[in-house]
Amino acid sequence: MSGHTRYMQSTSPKHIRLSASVILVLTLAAVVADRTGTLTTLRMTLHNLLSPGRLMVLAVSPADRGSSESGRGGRTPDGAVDSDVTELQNALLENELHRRQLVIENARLHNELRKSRKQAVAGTLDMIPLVNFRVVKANILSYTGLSGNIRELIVDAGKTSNLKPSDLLVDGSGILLDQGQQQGIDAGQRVVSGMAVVGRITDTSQWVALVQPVSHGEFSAAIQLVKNSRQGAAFGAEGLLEGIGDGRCRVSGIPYTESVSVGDEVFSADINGINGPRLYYGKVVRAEFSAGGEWDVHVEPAAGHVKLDQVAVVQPSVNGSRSTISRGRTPSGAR
Amino acid sequence: MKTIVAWVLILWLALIFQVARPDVFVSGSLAVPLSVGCVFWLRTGTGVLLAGAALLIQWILHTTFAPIDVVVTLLLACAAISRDRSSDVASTLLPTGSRYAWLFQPTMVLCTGLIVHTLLIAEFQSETLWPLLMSSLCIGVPVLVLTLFIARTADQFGLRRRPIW
Repeated sequence: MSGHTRYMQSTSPKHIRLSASVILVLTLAAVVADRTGTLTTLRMTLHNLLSPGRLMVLAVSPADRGSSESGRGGRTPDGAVDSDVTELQNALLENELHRRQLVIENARLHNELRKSRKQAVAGTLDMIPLVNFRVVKANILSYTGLSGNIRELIVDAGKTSNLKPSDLLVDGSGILLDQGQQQGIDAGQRVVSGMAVVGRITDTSQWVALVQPVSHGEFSAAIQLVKNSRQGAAFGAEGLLEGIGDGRCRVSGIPYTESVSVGDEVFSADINGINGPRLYYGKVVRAEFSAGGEWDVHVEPAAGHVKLDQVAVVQPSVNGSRSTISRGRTPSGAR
Repeated sequence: MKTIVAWVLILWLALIFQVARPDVFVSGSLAVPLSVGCVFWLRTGTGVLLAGAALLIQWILHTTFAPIDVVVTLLLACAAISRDRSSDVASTLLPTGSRYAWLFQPTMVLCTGLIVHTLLIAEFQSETLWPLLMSSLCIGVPVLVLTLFIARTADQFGLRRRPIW
C-alpha cells in the first residue's frame, strides 16, 4: 500500500469517527476513575512528567515584580524558602503540641467514661476547685547556670536596690531563668515548654531561678504511661521518672505484670503531689525486663534536644473564690 | 510522522506552560486552541487522537465536574473536518462555502470549547466567569489564528499535504 493511499485512508471520515470514539471512551474511563478515586496516581504521574519542563519555564521566566504576593507558582529566593521552612517547622511543632493535648484528653475521657459506667450517679453538684494552676513565663538567660557576666550585672544592679548578693545569686548549674521569688517562683515547681516538662526549679533568688533538667541525675517525678491503641488512648502503669544524666530518663517501679511498650507516652501523674493538669515528659524508647521483676524503661525527653528561649513555671495556688466562701460560712458558734 | 511528532511536542509544551505559569496562561488558553489547531492542521484521525489526548490530560491535571469541554470541542472539530457528506449536519451548522471558512470554522469550535471549559473551571459562578473567559479568548484566539495562518501559508507553498476528495 503506497504512502498516499495510507494517508487517504487515515483522513477518511470513518477513521476520524473511530479516533473520536476512542477519545470518548477514554474520557468516560477518566471520569469513572476520578469518581472512584483511582485517578490520583495518574495525576501525580502527569505532574511528575511535566515537572522538568515546568521548572525550566520557571527558571527562565522573569520574576514577577507586581505579583510577588500571588507566589503560588513562582519559586522564591533562598531567604523566602528559609522562611517557608521555618513556618512549616513552627506549624509542625504546634501540631505536635496539639496532638499531645488530644492524647491526654482522650485518655482522660476514656477513664471518665469507664468510671461513670460503673457508678450510679445519684446527683452531682457543681464544684469549685480548691487549687488552680497558673503559669509564669520566663526567659532563659543561660544554659550553664549563673555565668560571670550575668553575676556581675545582677550584683551591680542589686547594689542600687540595697540588695545583698546572697539575695540575688543562685548556686549550681542548669538553666537560668530571668524570673525569681518576686514572681512567686519557689523550688520544686515544674518548668514547662508548652506541655512538655523541661525540669524543675532547684534554687531561686529575688530575680533569677535555676532549673534542673529532667535528665539530671537528681531529678525525679511521679509519672503515668499513656498507651495508644486502636481503641484510643488509655492510661497505663504508674512509676517514677528519674534522670540518668545522658539526656535521657528512666522509669522505675513498674512491675512486670503491667503492659509497657516502646512508643508509649509519658505524662505526669501529679504536679508536686497535687492532682492537676497532665504534663508531658516524653516517649518510651526502650522497654526491657530487668532482673528485679520490674520493667527497665528508658524515656526520651520531649524538651531535651530543643534549644529554648522561653519557658513557663507552673505554680499551684488556692482558688480565691473558695477562700471567700470559707470566710462567709464560719461554723456555728465559732468566732 | 515529523508533523505528528512536532504536534506532540507543541501540545506538551502548551500543557507545561499552563502548569508553570497559571498566572499568565489561564487554564485552557493554550491547550484548547492548539488542540483545535492540531485537528484542523492534520485533519486525520491521528490529529483527533492527539488533540483529544491533550485535552484529556488537561482535564486530569485540573479536574472539573466532567470533561464536557473535551467532548464538545472534539465533536465539533470532527464534525467540521469530517468528509461525511451524506449526513451534512456540519455544513448546515458550520458553513463551508464562505471564503473564510478555513478561519471561521476553527474559531467557532475554539470559542465554543473555551466557553464550555471556562464555565466548568469557574463552576458557573458569574463573577469569575467573564474575566476568565476574556483572558482565555485573548490568548486562545490569536494562538489559533496564528496556527491557521501558518497552515494556510504552508498550503500556498505546497508544504502541507491535504486530502483531495
